[in-house]
Amino acid sequence: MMFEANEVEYEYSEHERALAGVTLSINRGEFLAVIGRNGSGKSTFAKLLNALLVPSRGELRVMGLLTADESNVLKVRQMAGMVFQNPDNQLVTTIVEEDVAFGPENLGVPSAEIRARVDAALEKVGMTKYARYAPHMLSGGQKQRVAIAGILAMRPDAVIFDESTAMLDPKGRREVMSALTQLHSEGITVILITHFMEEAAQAQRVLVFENGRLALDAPPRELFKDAKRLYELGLSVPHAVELREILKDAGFDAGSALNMDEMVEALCRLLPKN
Amino acid sequence: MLKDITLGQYYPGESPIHALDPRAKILLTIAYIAAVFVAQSYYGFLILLTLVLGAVILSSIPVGFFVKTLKPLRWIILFTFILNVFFVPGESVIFSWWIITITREALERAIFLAIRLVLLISGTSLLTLSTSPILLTDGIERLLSPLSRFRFPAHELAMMMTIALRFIPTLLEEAQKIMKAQLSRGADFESGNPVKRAKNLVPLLVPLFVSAFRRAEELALAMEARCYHGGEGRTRMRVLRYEHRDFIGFGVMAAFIAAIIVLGR
Repeated sequence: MMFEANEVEYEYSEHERALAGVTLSINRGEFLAVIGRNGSGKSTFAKLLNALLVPSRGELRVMGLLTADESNVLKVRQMAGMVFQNPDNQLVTTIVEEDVAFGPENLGVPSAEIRARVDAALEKVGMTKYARYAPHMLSGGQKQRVAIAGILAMRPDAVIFDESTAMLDPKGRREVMSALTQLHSEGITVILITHFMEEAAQAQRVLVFENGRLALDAPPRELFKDAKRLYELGLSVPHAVELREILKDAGFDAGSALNMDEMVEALCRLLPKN
Repeated sequence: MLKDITLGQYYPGESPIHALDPRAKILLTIAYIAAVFVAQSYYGFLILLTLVLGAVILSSIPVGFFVKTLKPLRWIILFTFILNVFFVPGESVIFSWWIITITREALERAIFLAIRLVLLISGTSLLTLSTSPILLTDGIERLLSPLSRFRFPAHELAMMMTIALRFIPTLLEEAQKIMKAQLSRGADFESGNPVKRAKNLVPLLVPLFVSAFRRAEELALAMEARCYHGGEGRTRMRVLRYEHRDFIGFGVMAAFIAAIIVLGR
């Protein structure tokens, strides 16, 4: 079990409860998306997962380690790395490869091994060419890929993306998403906090937060079956689902198409053969 | 473009001077500064000049860059020169008119001081021209790290320098953006007397500071998430190791200092 939350509650102050009664477990190697309106508690949930925050009540375990235990904090953060939203505010040093080395340096990894890890991590996100660049010379998507490499160099079991695509242009978003799906294919647990439904639809499982509570927990195909419920929660649905609903109202059944490819397939089937 | 500004005045290169260990370069620079003050005669200055010129040629950095570092300081050099010429007391008068007297001793003293300043600036700028800011920071951190036993924050200091270097271009870019935004709303950064102009900078500085603090907070969180917990138990990817060339550097410097002590005092 990668993450186990048991009745987790978090309050910023006495009157400001961000999260309540969250009980769930996340398996190793899962690709999970977390959606919800602003202030629904999804970002708080992410910060709890790598011990940046500690539950006010209840307990959270990462690979069996209790995050509330001070002596586990470094281990937890190494196992569950986090990529943040603003690409400018998470790179620490003036050279890309030095930044990737920052995490392993903090962990006290021997110098020669850091070198090997940094090269491998940059290779994995396709940034080897930019190893000696200054971060401010890179595009948003490239900066996020460097940030991902920085996490990979710590050899994590899970990577949490806290709205890491929110500030990027479509090209940058694609870059990050492809890096993320690659991580998942290599067995790393991926947790993607997002407000892009197209991205959430790519996950194996989607959590929906509402007012600090876990409202829905289902695979995307099942979740987006009920578009009305998501609209009620103040969320949107992938474009394909939106189109599906319109078609349904017009009397056409586009099946369970979730993305563009499936939609094209469904539409072709709907077309009268001639 | 602001984006392309060079930080510090680093002139990238592959010369033997560039390749020296940053710690060695810092130590050599300190030794050089001491040597400049040890030298008391034209002979001494000649020896120092040979040393600087030799190092400059070896570094293959165009001489123009050294002249550029001297330029902003030309008034200080001139000022100290004039001050010394007129106010150092001496016996053998060369020139006297009204209350102005110039003595041979004063003139000599003034020339010495000017030469000393020029040597000092051009020699030390070799350090910043041939060492990238990040290596310089590394060198400073490692030279100071023995002091951390006496609670001197060597690692913290270096980390602060690194972060400052990292964010200077980001903040410059942001300043430019804010400036454009305020200009488009009718802000005026160019006209008026200096006091008014300084006042007009407020709408630029306030948002810049607010954003800098927000960035700092986010960066701190990101650093924490990447297991940062101060300098304790931290390793580095780059290992600094003294090589043969560094010892050659120390040897050359020692020889020059010895020469100055013997010939140049």
